[in-house]
Amino acid sequence: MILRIFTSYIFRCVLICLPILWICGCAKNDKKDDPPPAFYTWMYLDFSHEMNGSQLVRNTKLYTNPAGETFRVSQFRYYLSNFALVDNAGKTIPLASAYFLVNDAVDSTKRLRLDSVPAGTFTAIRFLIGVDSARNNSGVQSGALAPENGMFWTWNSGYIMAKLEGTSDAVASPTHEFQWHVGGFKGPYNVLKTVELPLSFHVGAFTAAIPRFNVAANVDKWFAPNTASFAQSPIIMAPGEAALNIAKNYQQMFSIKN
Amino acid sequence: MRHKALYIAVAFGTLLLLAHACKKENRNGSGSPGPEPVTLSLPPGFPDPVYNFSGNPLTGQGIALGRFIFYDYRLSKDSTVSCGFCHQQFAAFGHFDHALSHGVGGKQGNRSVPAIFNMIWQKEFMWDGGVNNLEIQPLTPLTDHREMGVDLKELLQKMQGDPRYRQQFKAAFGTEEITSERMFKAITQFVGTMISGNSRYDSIIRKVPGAAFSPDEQVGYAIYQQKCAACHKEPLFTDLSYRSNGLPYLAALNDVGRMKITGNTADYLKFKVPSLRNIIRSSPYMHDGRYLDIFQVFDFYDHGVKDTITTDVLVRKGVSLTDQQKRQLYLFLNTLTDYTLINNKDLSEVLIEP
Repeated sequence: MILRIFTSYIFRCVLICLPILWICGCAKNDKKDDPPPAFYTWMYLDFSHEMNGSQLVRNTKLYTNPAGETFRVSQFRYYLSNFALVDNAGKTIPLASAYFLVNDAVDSTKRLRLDSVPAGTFTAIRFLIGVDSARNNSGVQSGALAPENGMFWTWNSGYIMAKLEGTSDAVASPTHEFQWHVGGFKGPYNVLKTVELPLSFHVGAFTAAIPRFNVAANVDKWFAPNTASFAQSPIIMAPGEAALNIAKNYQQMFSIKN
Repeated sequence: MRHKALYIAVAFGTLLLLAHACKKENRNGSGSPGPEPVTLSLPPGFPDPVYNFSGNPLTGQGIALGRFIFYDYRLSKDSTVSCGFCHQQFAAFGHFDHALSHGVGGKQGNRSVPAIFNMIWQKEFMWDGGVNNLEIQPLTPLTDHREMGVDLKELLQKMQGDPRYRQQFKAAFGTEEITSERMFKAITQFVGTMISGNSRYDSIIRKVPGAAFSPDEQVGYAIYQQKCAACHKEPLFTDLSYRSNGLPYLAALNDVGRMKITGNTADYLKFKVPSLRNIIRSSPYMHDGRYLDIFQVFDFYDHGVKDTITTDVLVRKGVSLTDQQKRQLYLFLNTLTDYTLINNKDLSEVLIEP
């Protein structure tokens, strides 16, 4: 009796109609005027931090900068945002909006997942070191941009785009501390720097592999070509010439390793 | 017959399934109770606000949470001072009788507490305009070691541990999660409701029947229009610009004003023009609170202005005022006191048990 219901004509009809009805019922929620996005995959960037060609060691290892000053690094953090890919026709394709705070002390922050990578053949990746001026201006932010991350100036609104802290005997203060907080998004002291790194990969409809690249950030690049000395500027905590000089230096710190 | 019954049953089941599948789409619809939207009533004749709440919808629960935070002294490092400790309602949310701000551990700042009302019309905040959005303004007093002196991460943990906060965040934002974004948006909602545009002056301007200046107030208004209104512009009674009024520099405070923010020497000793609304209630005066009495301010403009390279051309030669004019100006300024602000029960201190 029960079994006969399962084999009945009506039951089969209902079985077929159910998913159709379900799709029709909810279809209006999915309707959009825009064409469906042609995004195929995402990609990873794995960041590693280096000093003079070998892995950065915080707190314990003693380094020497081009000015001859010895120092130790306690903190190394920076924002990356506004990622885009350049394709083989020279066209720049922005990726999904995302803001990353890379912190040498937190390994999980060094793997960046970039979403909405479209199909195409790509020759370079572009990104901003720092947080674009729009996000510096539009009130309280969340996630990587939340103010409790300690990368926001409260007295003169704006993000610290990159931060290098440590100690150096060249600093005369009792703690020998240096604190380089590079920020400023306005006028002549805008430190926002765009980086373009050549790479090569192809994404097609049937590509299964997720593109993955290793990116090195060389901290030694902070000290040249513009002279950056701990003795001269142990504390940089405001937009200005000193911050701008360092930003021009660190713009060159990234390279693709594979 | 049996088949027909089955068919109806299955059709009904399908409908139920459909309703269930689509329900999650409507979870935040009008059917379920949530934060109640609030519309601010803005004073007639005021310009459009700079802060418009489009990204921070104003709700009764959001305002209530912001008010609780504003008056919660436990949020400071040593549980002594709240926002409302310095921003007193009876002083138009300035700090009565205190030349310089003071905070945790008896520490003193180097500027006076600004009276905070009509903040949604400001494009920048603090005496030097260093803060560029109303939402993030509270960051400064919360974290400054001379004010509330807290670490923001610790503060959020502290709030998350308090069931009253979890309950209020849920009421305002839907879940018990306490984030800095929600906290600052709630404070912004409460501070946004501190609107002053209903003084006797306003009634007179709007020609409310029976509202009129006395003869002395009328003359005082004319003196104001002639000698003050260029900077303290109606209807906000400030043009929101930064100017040096020639107030002599004090080496002890070494406050260079807006130059600290812009790095531009042309901004040396410039500070934001404060509003004259509620001015008689919000003494002391000037960015460093050096004058306790408004007549000292009149005397300063009359014969105390120091002409430096950045002193504003409008006051460089001083603003002459006779004793009678000072009295008349004082009487006019009294008409700018807004009792619907300083007596508004919706803005008053909430008692918070430890």
